[in-house]
Amino acid sequence: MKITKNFTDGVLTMQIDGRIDTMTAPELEGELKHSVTDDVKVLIFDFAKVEYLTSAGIRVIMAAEKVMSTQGQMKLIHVNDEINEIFDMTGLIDLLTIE
Amino acid sequence: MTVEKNEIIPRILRDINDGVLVVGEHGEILYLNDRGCSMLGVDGNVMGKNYGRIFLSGDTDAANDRFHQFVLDAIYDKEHTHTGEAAYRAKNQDLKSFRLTSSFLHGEDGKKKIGMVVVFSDITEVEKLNRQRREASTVFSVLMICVCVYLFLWSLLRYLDVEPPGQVMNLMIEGISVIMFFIILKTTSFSIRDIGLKVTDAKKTFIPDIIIAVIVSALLVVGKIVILRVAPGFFPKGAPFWDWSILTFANVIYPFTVVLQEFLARGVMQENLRRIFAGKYAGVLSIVVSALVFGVLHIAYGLPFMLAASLLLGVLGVFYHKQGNIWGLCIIHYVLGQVATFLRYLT
Repeated sequence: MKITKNFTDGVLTMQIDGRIDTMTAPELEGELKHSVTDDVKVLIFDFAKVEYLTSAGIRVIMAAEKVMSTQGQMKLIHVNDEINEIFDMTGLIDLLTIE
Repeated sequence: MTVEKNEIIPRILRDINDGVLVVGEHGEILYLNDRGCSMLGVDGNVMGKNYGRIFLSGDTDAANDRFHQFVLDAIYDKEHTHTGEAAYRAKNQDLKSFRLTSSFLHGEDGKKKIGMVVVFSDITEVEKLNRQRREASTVFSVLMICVCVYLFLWSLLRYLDVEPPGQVMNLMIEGISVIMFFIILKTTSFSIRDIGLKVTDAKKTFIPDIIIAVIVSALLVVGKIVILRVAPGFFPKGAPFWDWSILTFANVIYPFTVVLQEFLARGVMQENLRRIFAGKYAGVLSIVVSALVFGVLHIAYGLPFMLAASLLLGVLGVFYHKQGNIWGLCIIHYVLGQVATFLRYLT
């Protein structure tokens, strides 16, 4: 998994390339802990290149959502159909902002 | 018939010993039986609520990832049933082991999405037993290596015409006990209770054992009186009835010897053999085998002592089987050992 970050005017965009699974989720979790400071008002996950999302990845995403709900907002963009179905069928689509 | 069918299936799902979770196509919980609620640590009114909100949103415990992954697997791979094991820690509960099966639910036409179903059973106890059996096998194997080393060493000393004092061989047995204690402590999940060192019911443990120790001590005294009349040469000539003069350092440290020997015979041998054998005769087999092995460890003292040690260990093994700890047996072992020594039965 490769993470590319871009922070501009309070908006942190994290483009993730690869799988977010048990092996890579801790890396994403660490990156979020390091990057999501009080200055971040909007957190955007660009899922265009995410091939696979496991429950470990969902746990990290939901933890980020919890943090951002107190200091701004979080959204997921370019989510592919397969992962979108995961969010839909688990009901997470109602809890997340997916564009 | 249809009415009966409609009543029977919910009743089966309700009373089944497995958890059954059905999630709809948009994440709504369609069904979670009582057993499932209890296993997942949620109350019964989760039906109709959002699965993600109830189970994923606030669940920060990485230990539960694999359980949730089974739900995702049913969505990722709709054509197959997914079976496996996963850990799960419900809120304020201990970590449990579940065996799960998840699958995607299609409509009658095979195309319409209904949702997914997860059936899960609690295998925590089975897992624990299997793990303990594996650990018990390892512990017993290490013990057998120690016993073999002891026997080879004893044979070597005899081959070299060296006659080590009995106390040296005794110290070796105690050394094995100490080694086994640390191996169990460092390499297994056994608790102090699992190796017979914790007293759960002091009254049931100590009262009968003290009574037995007193009765057998009295029998030894009566026995000596009788033997002195019938066969006075049995005891050393001129020795007093109760001979304090044979008190040695070994008698002073005897309480430690007793604890170490009882731990080796019960906590290490009998307890682990019972786990390895399992089944109907596990108790009997564990008593017999541990008594025989302990008898073999007394090879340095000759055949009569080996037989006596095996017999005593076998009898005490029955008490251990009932009491589950070594401390009451230590009292019997200590009192009888000392009484037999000072009455000069052993020398």
